Amino acid sequence: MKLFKDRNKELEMEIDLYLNCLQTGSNDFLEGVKAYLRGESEQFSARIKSVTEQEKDADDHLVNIKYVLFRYNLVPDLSADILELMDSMDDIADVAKETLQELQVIRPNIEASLIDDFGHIAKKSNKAVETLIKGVRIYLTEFTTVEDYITKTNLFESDVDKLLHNLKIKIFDEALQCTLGEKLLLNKFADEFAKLSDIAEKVASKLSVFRFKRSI
Amino acid sequence: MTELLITALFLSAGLFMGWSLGANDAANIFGTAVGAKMIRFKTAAIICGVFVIIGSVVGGTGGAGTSQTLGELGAIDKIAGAFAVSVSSAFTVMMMSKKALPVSTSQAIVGAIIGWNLFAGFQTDTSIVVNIVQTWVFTPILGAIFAVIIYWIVKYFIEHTKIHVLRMDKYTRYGLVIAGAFGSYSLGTNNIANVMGVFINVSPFDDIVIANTITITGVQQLFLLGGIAIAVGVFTYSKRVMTTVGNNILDLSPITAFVVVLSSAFVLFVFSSEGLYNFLTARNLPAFPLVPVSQSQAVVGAIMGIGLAKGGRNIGVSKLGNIAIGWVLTPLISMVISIIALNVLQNVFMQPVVG
Repeated sequence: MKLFKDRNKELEMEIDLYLNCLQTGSNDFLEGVKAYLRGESEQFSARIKSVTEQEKDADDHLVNIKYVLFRYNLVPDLSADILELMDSMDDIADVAKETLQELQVIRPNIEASLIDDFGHIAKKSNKAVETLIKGVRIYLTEFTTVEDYITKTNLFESDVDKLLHNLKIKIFDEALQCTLGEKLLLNKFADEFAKLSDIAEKVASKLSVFRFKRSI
Repeated sequence: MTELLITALFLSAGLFMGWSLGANDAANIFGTAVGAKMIRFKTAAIICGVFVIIGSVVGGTGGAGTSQTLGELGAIDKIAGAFAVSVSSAFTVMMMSKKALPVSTSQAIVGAIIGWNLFAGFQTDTSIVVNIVQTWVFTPILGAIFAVIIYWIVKYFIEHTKIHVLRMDKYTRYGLVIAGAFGSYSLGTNNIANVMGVFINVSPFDDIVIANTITITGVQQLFLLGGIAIAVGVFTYSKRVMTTVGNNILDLSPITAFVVVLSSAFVLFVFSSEGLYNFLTARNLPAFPLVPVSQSQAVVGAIMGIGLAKGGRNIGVSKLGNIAIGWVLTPLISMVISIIALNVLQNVFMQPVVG
């Protein structure tokens, strides 16, 4: 009977692979930023290559997820929730790739006094994404504890905001010997590094709604 | 030939009642599943139709079923009288539904039978009336009790098992199909008395014996006809009810709908299961009386039960008031219409309505 045909395994696997790509992409972003800050150009290039591949794979898996969701007719409400969740997470891979590529193209000169700050923002952003992805996996299987992950994601995002604010103060401090153009460029990259945590926060709030919808 | 046509005409009132029951009550069973596109309407209608017929024929034709209770309330002995009673209750249901008043076929038929008693000059056994009314009151309460228990079990299951959301979706579909089948069976078993119960004493069907082993009784044939009428109602009109008119459970989540459908099915089942009745009475335990009850009111009770289990949120207490109004208003209106219809049949159409 068509009604009882099991297509869930296929979809579960696609979602799993998709989340793996996003996680790897986010890790590549962090390692890429670290390599750039340390001036390790070979490592940096390798990370760009990897993050590009992950982004492409993530796109492929997302297409497959959409295909399976539409083709095998899950409950429309659940399909819509899963699709919205997965779609909004796609930005993680996109932003990770775009940020590293912009670093490669623009090559901003990051002053030694600011390296740690940029590094911390990238690290906390990655943490926010990592916690979010764990939360999404938990939502799919054991949704009652998902709120813990949502809270943690928001905490990391909040940390990033604080770090970003402090970094901006340093960037625009008169003591920093840079032109205004250079300062604006550093400011833009600080924002770019923090973007991942903003995406994580947005997805986490969606996750919170979906979790509420699943509770009976 | 003329007699056959007249019999068919008189039976048509019961068939219309069955059609109306199928059209309206299937929405309470499969409304959420079809509305949420978890189950296709065609699949739901086939399951509902088949199990309603099985329930009507297998569960509804026992010796002490819900029809017996209606028979004890008023033993209608002329087919024209049965027609008047049936058509009056069907008309009451239709009229009150149009006015959006709370109505149940079970309450309408009881009122119409009492109307027949009054018209015929027979005394109505008040102990049976009290028994029936108590059951009506107990229906939403029992619906709520079952819902609370099932809700807690389902909640525990969901929260303590690491089931993937996609697999949970599949299990919910299975659950809705099984609960829907059970709900349809219980509806057939319990409510067939409303459709064909008044025709039992005047059944035009003789027993059919197949190969000297299988006997299909006249009552079974009558109830099969009623079951088919309900199934036709499900196929022809319930989709419209599910998608346009709406119902009590349409806006529920699939899992909550599963709890509600299962709870209301249990309510109808306990008020129509002879097996359970015999089991309890044999052990000197208080048994559930075999009385046709309102599925919609069991559903309302179940929804309130879930509200209570969730901590008392979203309980529409006004609906209880509406149900109570229905307990009084429906039998009264039906009784009056029944007396008028019996008068018209006897004095205008010269049909004997009382034996």
